[in-house]
Amino acid sequence: MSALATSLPLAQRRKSDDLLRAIALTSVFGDRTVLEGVDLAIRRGEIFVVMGPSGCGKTTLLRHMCGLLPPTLGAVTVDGKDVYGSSSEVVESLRRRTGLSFQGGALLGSLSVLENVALPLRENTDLPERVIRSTARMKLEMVGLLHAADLLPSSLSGGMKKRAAIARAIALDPELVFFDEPSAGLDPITAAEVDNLICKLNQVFGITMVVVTHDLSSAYEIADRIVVLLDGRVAALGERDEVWHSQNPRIRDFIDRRLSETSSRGAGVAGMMEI
Amino acid sequence: MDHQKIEVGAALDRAQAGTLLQELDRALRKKPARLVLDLKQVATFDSAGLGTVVEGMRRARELGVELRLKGLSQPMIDFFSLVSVDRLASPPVSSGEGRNLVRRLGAVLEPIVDNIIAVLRSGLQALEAIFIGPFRGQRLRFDRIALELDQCAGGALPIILLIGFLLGLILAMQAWVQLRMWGAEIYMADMVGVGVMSEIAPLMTAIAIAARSGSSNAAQLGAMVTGEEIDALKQMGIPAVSFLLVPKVLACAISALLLTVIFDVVAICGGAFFAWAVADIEFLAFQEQLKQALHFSDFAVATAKSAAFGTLIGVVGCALGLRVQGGSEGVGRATTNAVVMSIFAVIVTDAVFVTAQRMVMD
Repeated sequence: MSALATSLPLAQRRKSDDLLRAIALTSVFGDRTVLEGVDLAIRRGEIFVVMGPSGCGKTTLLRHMCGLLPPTLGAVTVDGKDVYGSSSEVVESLRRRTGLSFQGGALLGSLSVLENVALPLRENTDLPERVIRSTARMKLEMVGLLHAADLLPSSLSGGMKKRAAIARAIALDPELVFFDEPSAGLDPITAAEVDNLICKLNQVFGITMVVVTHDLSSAYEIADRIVVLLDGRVAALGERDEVWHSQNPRIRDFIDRRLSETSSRGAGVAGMMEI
Repeated sequence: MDHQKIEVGAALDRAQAGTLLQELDRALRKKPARLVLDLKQVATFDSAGLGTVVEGMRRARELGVELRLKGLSQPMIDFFSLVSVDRLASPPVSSGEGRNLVRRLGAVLEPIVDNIIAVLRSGLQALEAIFIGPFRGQRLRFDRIALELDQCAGGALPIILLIGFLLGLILAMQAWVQLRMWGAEIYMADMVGVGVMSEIAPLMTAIAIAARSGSSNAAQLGAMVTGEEIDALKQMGIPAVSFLLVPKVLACAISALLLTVIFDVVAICGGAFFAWAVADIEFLAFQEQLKQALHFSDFAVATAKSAAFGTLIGVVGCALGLRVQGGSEGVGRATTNAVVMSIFAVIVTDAVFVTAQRMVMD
């Protein structure tokens, strides 16, 4: 059953055993290597943040981990079961235990917000219609969108779409939820609300969260552990504070938002100007 | 019986939701003053189970029964701390409209009327930009017109050649079967010539263009609306009318005109081929008979007619595309509507043309 089904008090829920492991992931598109030998383990119940600059392979890593895109080399295991090597039934059952909140929401435009959230319940369970509606309304209330239940996604703001996508991602009480850039395109207040929601869901339900983001403040706010990807490789992996105070100069550049030598474009011109 | 009590078992989850809901409904139907839901045995629960409880609370409130929860465990309290049970249990605002006949009729007619108004408005804008715009210094974008023309006319040419030749052949065959009973096979030329030129060619060309270009115009503009591209053009000071609408409408009109003439020629060739190959009528005899049957005025009217059809198809497709709402589904709907409405408009216009022509001639 789902993570919710456990009656253990939350404090006793172990944050130690690995839920998902990525083993030597390598990903090649054409002649471009996006990921190279990425190894990491995500522990049950933690919020794991994947950070890195644009184009470092964050989203590709996420797509490998959530079962959408098989890696060129390497493996992904959930609870010790190989996601890409197992029979399709195993993969389907793993997929039902995970949820994914897409960057743009990816809500179905022809269905109301409530119907979008009810869709996974309707397709994957044989619950009575009234329970489906009630459960979907409950999920919407959790993300603070109950008042928008009957609207179509096209009339929602960016933040509302993200929250609706989160409600849909948690509709089936998943153990593991992936978030692709949850705060991208949101104002700081709305982004903080979404962060807060992620933490709350993690604390109350013990859902394991994998969050891909390039938003530094949001990453610091929510993370238990962090991995920093640079050029398709793991540059740092560890507890939040450990990574945050890393002495690796490239990590420092990223976290302190310093332009590295090669990327400071104005420098060449500045050298030529007479002062 | 004033008080009722339901004891929930160890599992309050997806598997038990159906049974529990039935049990709750049965208890609530008796309308007790108070119903107690005892949850103290619950060891495991999931949100579908809690959803069932909330649904029971909503139903109880509807029926005026007081429902009490007893023995909630800490995780359940944590869960309920995330939501306002009060809001959830209050009945959803039902959209109680659309029940009476007038409203329902309005809901059916309103989109149709809206579409017609949008088409008329776009048509006026396009005509204004084509005929009045150049005198006000707004240029026609010939590069874009050429591009659209290539897609619209060039793309449709093979299918027009094929169906033109085959239809000419078929018409000749049908005519021959009837006419040969009276030994009047030579009048095949009249049948094919007049039939193709005045009706078949303009209509078939219009239908082909509506299916190919009308639909693609609606889909393209609809996708541009949903992708905010139209707004981007507007913001850059590029009017969508002269940048998109006018080239597409002109391309459809010119294509319809050209393709109709090509259709005429190919279909008559098809008819002549049949006459020569099967009915033993020489090309020269067929040609002489055609000369007597066809009048230039008929040709002029038919050509004007097909230009009008093309304009209509262009305007309808673009107008419906430009008012797409609601994402990918809206694009699909606009595309379907564009084809249906184009063909309908073409047939109506055809009837108007024929009536007017007969009134003038007689």
